[in-house]
Amino acid sequence: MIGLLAIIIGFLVGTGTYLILKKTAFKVALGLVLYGQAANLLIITMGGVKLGEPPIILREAGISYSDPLVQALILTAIVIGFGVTSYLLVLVYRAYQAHDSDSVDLFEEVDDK
Amino acid sequence: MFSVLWVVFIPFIFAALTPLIQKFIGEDRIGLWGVIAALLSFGGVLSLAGYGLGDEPLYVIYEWAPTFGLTLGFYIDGLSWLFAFLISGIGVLINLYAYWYLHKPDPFGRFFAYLLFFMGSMLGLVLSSNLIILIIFWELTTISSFLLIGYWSHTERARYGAVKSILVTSVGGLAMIGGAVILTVITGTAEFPELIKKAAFIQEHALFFPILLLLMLGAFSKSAQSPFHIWLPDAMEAPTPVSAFLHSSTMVKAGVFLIARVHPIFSGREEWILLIASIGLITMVLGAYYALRKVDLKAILAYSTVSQLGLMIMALGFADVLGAKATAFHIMNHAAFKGMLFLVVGIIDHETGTRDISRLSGLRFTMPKTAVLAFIGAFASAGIPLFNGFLSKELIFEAAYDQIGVASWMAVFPVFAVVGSILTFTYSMKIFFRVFYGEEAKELPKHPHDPPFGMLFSPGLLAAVTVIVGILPFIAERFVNAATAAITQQPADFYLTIWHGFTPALWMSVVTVAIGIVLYSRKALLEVLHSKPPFGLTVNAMYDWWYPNIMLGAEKLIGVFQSQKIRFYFMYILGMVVVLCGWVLIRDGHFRFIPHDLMHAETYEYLGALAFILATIGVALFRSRLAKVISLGVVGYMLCATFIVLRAPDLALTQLLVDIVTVILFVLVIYFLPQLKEVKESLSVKIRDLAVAGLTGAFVTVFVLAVYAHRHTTSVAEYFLDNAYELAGGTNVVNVILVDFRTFDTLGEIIVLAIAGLGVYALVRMGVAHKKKKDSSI
Repeated sequence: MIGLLAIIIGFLVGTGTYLILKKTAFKVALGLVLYGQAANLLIITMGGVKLGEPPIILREAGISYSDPLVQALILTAIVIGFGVTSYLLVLVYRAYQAHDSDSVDLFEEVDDK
Repeated sequence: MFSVLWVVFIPFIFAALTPLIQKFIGEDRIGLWGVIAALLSFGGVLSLAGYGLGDEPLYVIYEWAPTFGLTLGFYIDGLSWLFAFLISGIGVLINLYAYWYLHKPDPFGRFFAYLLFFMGSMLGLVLSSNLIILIIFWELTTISSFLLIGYWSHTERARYGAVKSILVTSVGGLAMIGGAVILTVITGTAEFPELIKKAAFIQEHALFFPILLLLMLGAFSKSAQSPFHIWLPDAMEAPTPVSAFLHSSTMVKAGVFLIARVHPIFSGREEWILLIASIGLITMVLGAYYALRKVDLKAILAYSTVSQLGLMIMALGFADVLGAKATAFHIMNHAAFKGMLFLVVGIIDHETGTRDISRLSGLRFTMPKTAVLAFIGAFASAGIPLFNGFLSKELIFEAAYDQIGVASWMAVFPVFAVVGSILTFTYSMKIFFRVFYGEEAKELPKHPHDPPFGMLFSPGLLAAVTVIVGILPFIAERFVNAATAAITQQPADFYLTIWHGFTPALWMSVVTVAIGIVLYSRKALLEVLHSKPPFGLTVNAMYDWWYPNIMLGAEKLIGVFQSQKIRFYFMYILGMVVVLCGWVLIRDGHFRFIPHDLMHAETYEYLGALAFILATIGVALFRSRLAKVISLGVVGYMLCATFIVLRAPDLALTQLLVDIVTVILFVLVIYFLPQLKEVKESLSVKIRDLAVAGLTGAFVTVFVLAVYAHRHTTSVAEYFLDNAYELAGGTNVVNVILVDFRTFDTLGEIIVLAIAGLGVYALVRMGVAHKKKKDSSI
């Protein structure tokens, strides 16, 4: 199972990298979303894979649960990732309005001056 | 002993206070501040004379950073005291001279601050007992020399000379650090007294020659030995007091000092003689030859200094008592007569406005006092009896002649010592007779006359020393004996006299003077020397080729690394992560995984994973933007499914909601943002991006497996599982963590979201305002 997860994470990061290296801001945004998802998957594997029941306490003895801490971390990460994505998309839209272009290089030039 | 710290740090403290004092006493008088500092330091050195001239050296160690084993140690024996005496003593004279020499609009304060900074560094260099501390002070002298050469920074030549000096000497300095580190590692100490005790061990060590060579590269570059001599003539762009102080009497002798300091550690093996005596010999002859060809007085003196330093280093290379003694004596004498000659040239430059030997002549009529000084300096430099230069040069002849007894090929030393001395004699005569004799020069930029007393005082005192030591050499005996004892680590008890009888050295002197007179008086012979091609200039040509090209190369490199394109920076960062982390994983054997657990999964999980991967690739592969976004949505759903498989129901729910909203957002953007024409990417760019992406992805896969196989620590999750119900009264542990145990984290999360929401709102509103403005402007 961990092997499959590792390959999936590898593909997420690889595809994300490929998209982030593009000039079009829209594609960069897509790449960043993939990065976020890869990070979330990576964190959950750190807590172990399929160690037990979902972490909802049944108040019975002898039941093992999966790691709740990584899940709490990821929950936060998903939400914040969404916030960042939405902000980024509006920024892309806004940059297009101002410059009639969605090239990433545009941000850099504006940054310089 | 407090006075050691006093000697070294008084100049630094005074240098730092210069700007403040200048406010109080005015820029015109700041030179006196320099004189006071030098006098105080000189007084400190004199108070240490008991150690410098006595039998027992002073060795003090101050704790600096004990936890790192760093100490600040000083070692005062005959050698270091002699240097400290010369540095602080000549320092007083130079400060005094500079007080009259400088004139508006040069910034005085800066000059004296630099000069004191140099003086402190140089004193620290010679007095420190530790090789590492010595190197620190060594580099400080390089920096102060750079600042002083570039003092008249408005001239191109000064900037060129300053950069050249710091580059050439730093190259040697770097080599020296390497040598010092190896030496410290193999012996476990950098303190000179300890190293001297371990001399036998060091000489037996396999790394003996690398250490010696690296240290000597530092010494040779600092003391302008061939082929590193190229920086010294260009350093003459500095104001003349600086040339007299740094570039003839003190700083350039740092290399000689280092060789003398490590003499008891390294000398005794043949490499020492081969390396040091040979380089000294070559430099001595070449330097004298170039000096003869020059017409600028300062250039003549610069090459003359190169040549004389070569002479001293050659004598030290002989690794015997006589060579050490000759060097110690010549260090003193050279500091006196060459420093004085520089000051005299400074006077000539100052009063006539030129240093060109072909324009100057007959100055003895208008500048009689200066002529007397020049006469003493030139004759001491030529090695004429009754001047100090004669005595030490004859000692070096004697030492060179003795080498014939060691090995017959070493007869080259006495022979070429005579050749070099003949050239030295000739240019020294040129300095005096060309400038002060002959027709009285017309059309000089200024009307020449003797300078004020202040400018005559310093060279006058040095001239007096030159003559007195020349006639009554026993005055210098204690200095020379103490220094010789320090260099050879054997008690030294010599007498210095003018007359030794008809020794081979005397005949060598006679030959020198006789051929020198012939050479000087026969114009034709001089012409032959002048007309030869300047073959040695190739070193300069190499530097001049190398310097702009290295700058160009640096600019290109910066252009590559600082491309101003974020995606390139991103690529470099990823590349470094992959290479460095990957290397560590492999090197430390962390790359392993648990095989039985690796690919064990249900069939539906395999199918799901396949769909996950295909959807992921689709995000990049699909041409249409809508298809990309749909593919992204599928990725989100597959992630959601993965969370379910991994027993994380809360995550699955959240991911589902967020995925839906994200897709809607992207579709909205597609709606508002027209498909813009994209620049076609070339195949090579695509391949490059693919390679970076592929490598990064592969690395992360390996990384996940490696980390998974290494989960050793127990998770704090146990605590939450045990206490969620009892302490917080909740059964969903994930929710309890978020709202009870880690409430502030959740608060922070909400704040981030709120800020992002505000940002989105503000951006959208601003967009509207912008649009309106745009419309109204049409």
